[in-house]
Amino acid sequence: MGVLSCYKKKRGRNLSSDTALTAAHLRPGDKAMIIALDTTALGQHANKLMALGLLPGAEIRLEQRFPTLVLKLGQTTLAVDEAVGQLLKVKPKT
Amino acid sequence: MSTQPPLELPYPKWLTARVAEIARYIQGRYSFSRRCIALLALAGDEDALQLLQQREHPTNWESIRAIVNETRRSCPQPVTYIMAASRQKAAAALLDGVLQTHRPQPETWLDVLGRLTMQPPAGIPILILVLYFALYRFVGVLGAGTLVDYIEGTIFQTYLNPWFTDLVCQLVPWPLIQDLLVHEYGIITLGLRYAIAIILPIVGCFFLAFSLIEDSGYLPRLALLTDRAFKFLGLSGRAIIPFTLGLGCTTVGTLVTRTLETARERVIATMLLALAIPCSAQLGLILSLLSGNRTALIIWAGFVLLVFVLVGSLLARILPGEGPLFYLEVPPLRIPQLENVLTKTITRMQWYFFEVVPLFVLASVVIWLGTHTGLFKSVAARSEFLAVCLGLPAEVGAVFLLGFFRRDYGAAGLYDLIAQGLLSTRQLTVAAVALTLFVPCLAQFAVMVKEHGFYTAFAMAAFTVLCAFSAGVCLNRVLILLGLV
Repeated sequence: MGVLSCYKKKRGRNLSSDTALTAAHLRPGDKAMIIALDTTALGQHANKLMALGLLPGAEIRLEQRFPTLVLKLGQTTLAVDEAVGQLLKVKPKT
Repeated sequence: MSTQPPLELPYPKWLTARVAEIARYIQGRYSFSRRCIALLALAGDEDALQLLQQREHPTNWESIRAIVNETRRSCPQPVTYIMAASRQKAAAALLDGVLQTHRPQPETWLDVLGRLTMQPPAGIPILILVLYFALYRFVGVLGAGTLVDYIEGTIFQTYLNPWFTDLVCQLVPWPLIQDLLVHEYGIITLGLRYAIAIILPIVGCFFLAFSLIEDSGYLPRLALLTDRAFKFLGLSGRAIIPFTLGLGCTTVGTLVTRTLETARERVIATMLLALAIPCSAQLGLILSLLSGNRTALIIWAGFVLLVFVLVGSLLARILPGEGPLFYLEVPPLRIPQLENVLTKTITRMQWYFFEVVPLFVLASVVIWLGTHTGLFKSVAARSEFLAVCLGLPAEVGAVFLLGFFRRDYGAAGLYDLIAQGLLSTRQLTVAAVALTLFVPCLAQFAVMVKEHGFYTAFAMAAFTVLCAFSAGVCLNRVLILLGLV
């Protein structure tokens, strides 16, 4: 319960202070293009995420949300948690 | 065909300017272009910076370093990020209008299964089935039960041990040397018997099962499914890999904690491996010891899991640092190739065998020395006190002592005590719990020192011993209160 409410709080805060859409806001089946990575918050993880192909301009499709987010990126399938998803700014595609 | 002009990457103008500036200071000879080494230096590549420092004139090197540092300071994002984004843009532009994406192939049954294993409604039952069949039925029942019974009970106890004992007694007239080779703690009758007849079948079955799971691409799915649960322990789903491997051999598991992202995660995982993860030899033995006693088995499993969760969540709260992030590539499921699986299993068994046999022989020699010098008796007398605190017969003290040489060795010692009918249900449960939680074996401790330094490793081991005994004492009290004899 603690963790869940913590997540909800974080998401709420992100929505109010920063209206940009992130991968964590997508619904299963949604397609989007990554526009930026929050490199400050990612710190040492940024390079590793880039190595996996999560870069500005990359097109993703959200496959599932639970227990972690699952993103399809070209032929690659990636599992990332909600916290990482919130650090990927996206622009939805139709 | 005309030669193509080199591809101009659309780096931002200021970055191109910095690259040119650095390139002007580069005078040494390198196997690649100045522009390339300047780019690497700006990206913070350690090797490139080191080369520059070695080959450039000190004043030039100072200027280069100043530019690199200044760029990093003034740039709001990492330079690598800006470069990668520019390359991605260039790649997309190149592919645009040239690349066609066809409709994806129809899903095969493996694709469907792969998708199902990632979604909790089907994924969790599949996870339980995989663990039940791979660990319990295959390693526990087949390996530790059937195979051990046959190799240990029939081959060793009926044929090999009496034959070797007779042979040694005929050839060697001195009882002291006879004891070293055969009898109760002999190298052949105890050391080799444990290594070959008890440990090897269990570990072999585990490595076979693990290689199958590994090669099928199932492990990342396991990580994905368990990520949320691991967050309670300050870990991410990635930790499932060292933990599953730790169920085979905690020493290997401890080595693999390197794959975790932060030092904080590595410390938590190493502690939990040392404390609450039994290795396959221990696990197999404990499962076979407790298999006749369902109550003891359930209490043991529940209690060890409880300690695992309690200690993990406690560490997650008290250790400084940020919580973990989880990201992992999930490959498609594949049918494992028999040849690869067998090669892997055999290589791992060989490695284990060559690592384990000398230690077992050494343990036999130490016990032989200890027994004949009287040293062992005085140490065992001290550990007997601990055994009595746990409400266990004094003989168990010696078992814990053996446990330090190898965790599985200790469990194997318990096996002999059960065979003699020395333990009640309560004692059996407490002994199994204390032994599971007990100190890491010598090899695991060595790896802990290597990964975390002596003091941290020592503190972890001390905490483990303290925790094992206090948990054992508590459990013993609770079981007595509950009226279990």
